[in-house]
Amino acid sequence: MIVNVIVLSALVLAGIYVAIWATRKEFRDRVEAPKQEFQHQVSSFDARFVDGNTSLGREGENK
Amino acid sequence: MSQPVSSTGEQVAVTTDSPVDSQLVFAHSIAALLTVLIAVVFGILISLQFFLPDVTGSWLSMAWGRMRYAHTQGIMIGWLGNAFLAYLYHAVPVLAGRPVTSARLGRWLFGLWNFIVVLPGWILVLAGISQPIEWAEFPPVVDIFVIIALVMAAIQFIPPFFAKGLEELYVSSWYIIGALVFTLLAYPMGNIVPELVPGAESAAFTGLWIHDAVGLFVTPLALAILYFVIPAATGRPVFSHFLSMLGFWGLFFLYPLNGTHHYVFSVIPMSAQLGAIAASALLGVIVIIVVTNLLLSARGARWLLGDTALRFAVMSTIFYLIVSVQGALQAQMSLNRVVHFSDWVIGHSHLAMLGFATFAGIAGIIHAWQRIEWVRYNAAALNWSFWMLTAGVSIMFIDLTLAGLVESRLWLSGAPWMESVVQAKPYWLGRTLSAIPVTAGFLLLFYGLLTGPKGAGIKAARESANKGIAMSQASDNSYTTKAPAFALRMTYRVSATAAVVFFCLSVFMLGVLPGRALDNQISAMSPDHVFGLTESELRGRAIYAREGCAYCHTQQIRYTDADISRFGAPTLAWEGQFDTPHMWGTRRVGPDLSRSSGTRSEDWQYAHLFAPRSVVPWSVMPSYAAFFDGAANRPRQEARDLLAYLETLGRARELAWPEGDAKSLSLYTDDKWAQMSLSAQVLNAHKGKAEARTDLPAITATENLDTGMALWQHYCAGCHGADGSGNGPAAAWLEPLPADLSQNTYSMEHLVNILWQGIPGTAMPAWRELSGPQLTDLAAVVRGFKVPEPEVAFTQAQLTLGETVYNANCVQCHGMNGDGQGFAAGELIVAPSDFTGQRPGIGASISVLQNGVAGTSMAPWTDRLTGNEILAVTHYLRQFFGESP
Repeated sequence: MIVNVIVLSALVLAGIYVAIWATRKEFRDRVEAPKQEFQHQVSSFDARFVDGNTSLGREGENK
Repeated sequence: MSQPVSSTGEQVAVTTDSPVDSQLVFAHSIAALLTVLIAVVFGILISLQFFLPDVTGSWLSMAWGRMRYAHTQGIMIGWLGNAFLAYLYHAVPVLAGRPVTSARLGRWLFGLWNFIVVLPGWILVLAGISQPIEWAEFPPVVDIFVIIALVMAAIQFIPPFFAKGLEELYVSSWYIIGALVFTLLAYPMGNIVPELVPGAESAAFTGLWIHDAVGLFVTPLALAILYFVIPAATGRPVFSHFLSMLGFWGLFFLYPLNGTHHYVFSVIPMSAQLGAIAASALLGVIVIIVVTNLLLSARGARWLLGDTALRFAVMSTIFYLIVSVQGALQAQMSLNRVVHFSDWVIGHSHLAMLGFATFAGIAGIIHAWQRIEWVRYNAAALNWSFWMLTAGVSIMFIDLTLAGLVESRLWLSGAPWMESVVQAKPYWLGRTLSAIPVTAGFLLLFYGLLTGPKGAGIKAARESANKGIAMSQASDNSYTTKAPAFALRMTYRVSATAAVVFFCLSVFMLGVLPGRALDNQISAMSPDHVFGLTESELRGRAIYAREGCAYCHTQQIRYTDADISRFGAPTLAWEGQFDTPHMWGTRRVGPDLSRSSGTRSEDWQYAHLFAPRSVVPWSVMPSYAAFFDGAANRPRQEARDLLAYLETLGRARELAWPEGDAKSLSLYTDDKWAQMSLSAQVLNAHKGKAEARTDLPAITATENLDTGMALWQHYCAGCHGADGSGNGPAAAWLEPLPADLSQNTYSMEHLVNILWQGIPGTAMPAWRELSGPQLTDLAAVVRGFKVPEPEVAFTQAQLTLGETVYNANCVQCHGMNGDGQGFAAGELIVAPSDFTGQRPGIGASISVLQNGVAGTSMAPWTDRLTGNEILAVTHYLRQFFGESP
């Protein structure tokens, strides 16, 4: 009984989540936002190398 | 933090504004590579033993079982653990925008993980201190430090995410948090609980852990890497973050519910099995969503030509798809019935750990390594590493999958067990050969990370960008923060709570509930008084566990027709009520041992342990000569204990049968699975179980001596010798000695009967796995061993004397007609010879009468008979032979 309640509750919640996602564009945008932020975080980190902004100087040099 | 020093001894400056502790990335990467090389060496040594079983000699620390333990724990904890930690030290600061909790904690964690867990774990396992639980072989004392290390890892890597809102977390962050939290929950459950509960209940928890180790530790961290490396290397965001999160929650809900699919067709309640099977199928669907999302993220990236980290990541994704779909399918009863216990499963686990997880781990290491300014980077070597590892893993997976199909086909056909061993050997060789590119790949990986110019990693990544893969510099900040963060945050909170609930549910549904049902079954079915194990048997059990016997011999007869016909009645819960932890096993290289009690004579068992190939020429079992004082007939206490334990397997059920089963049958009328076991026709169908049976196969009219000789070499030469003279490699250790077949003349019927029934009380087993034509061929070969001897003329007076002597001294055992049915015969452990089917040679008879037969009731007669009387009775008993010689 308790197992059925838990599983059904999970399915209902998952259904609500998908329904909101399907009908609300701002919700979809919000769900997708972290992937853009991740790209920003990674590019910011990599920019240190792209700009040659390391204490090693230009990358690839064997100092 | 002290400044790193380059390999040339030059002080190298590090950017001070980096949130990444590159020293810890470096340290864990090197530790990962060192441990994987050692674990691979263990793997190669154990794979070699499948066709060179004596390659490591009789040194117990290098015995197959111990190295098997060291291999899998080395891969999971040593290699993958370090690889994941290396990635985390790079990824968490990037994802969270702040450093990990403490650099000092990181150093303690590194030391603890490698010098308190991995290294001592290996040493203890090789020294024989371990636990026989799959993926949990390090002993409990090491488990305590693993748990401490997991707590430290959670403290190190989770708090940096606290400053971010849940709705802002990228999917890799979720996987990292999920892996750390759920591994901390699952590890104690999987490593400690099976030590506390017995038999089937113990197996239920082991099943949970086997899947949780993969599903809650390895997979989440591997996917965290894939979701990190693919978009970072392509410069494009992941295809859909919604699908990413859908996959994340789906995996964390469903993975823990898969556990019992490792024990399908077992005595664990069918409701738990079916739940796990359904969850496995659903998991396959979720994995397809995850993989589709990842592959769409890499679309158009020309990943095979580009960044090496990306290449490893995409290949890992492909391996993940294959292994997960395979896993979902092989959990289904129709396929599980066929391939379970075979090398198919070993191929599956290698594709998971060496393919999917290892490639993800390498992708994470390379990606982080490229971004350490002061390390070297050799792109060409890493490129070759990728191709070598891809080739090696692919060959190994295909090879083992084929081996599994060959084995399972033979098992289903009812063919002799050794046939599956013989036919698998070429594939086992192929598996070992596949280790060549795998080892070369890891060596090239090591070489590639330690050679080449400094800073070349980032250069290589940029060159890849020039080939069409954008360096991760495009930053489309078009997302808005005005969207409904609260709703999403609440969704994630509810989901996170639900995931924990589902984990608890998995433990309840697949561990606690089945445990209760099993307890009830044990209470109802168990005999009132079941023998526990004696001190000697308990010591033997510890040896069995220590040497990893359960990793080649199962102790569970499944509820399938193939198992029932080969081994007997399926295993009931009460049979394992003293097995803590259980030793069910999940693989059969050798046969199941659930009913091994009474299947072989003591001297045969000792010979088999001391020198397995002396009695089973094609066997791949390791030699345990270390348990003996130089010879199989001089067993030390360890050998005696081990044999004592083997003789307990199936003993309790045999003592209770058939009355006990009949009583239980009336209690469980509505349980079709219990009925299946309780109504089995034969409790112990072991081919070597020497109980007389009347279904003697018919002798065929024609004989094939070539086939017979091949069978002879396979089944008989180990004891009777190549020429049948009774001097095989194992002969000296057996008592009574194997018969010298060159001295006697045998009738065909007599030989076939002995081959079919065996000779109770001796090492001669009943060869029930041979068909009528095979028995005929074999008997024809035996008859051909007879060395011709001149017929000696004897007088009527000698015959009369012989009759008198025989009737006075021999008839009690050998019977009036010489058929071995004398009135005392039934009291003898080894039956007297039947002279109606066997005509002894004169010399052999005289020798027996003069010396007796050690190990039987046949005593020397020289103190009671004169030489003339011995000669006379020798002639007389030859008259009983039914055929003309």
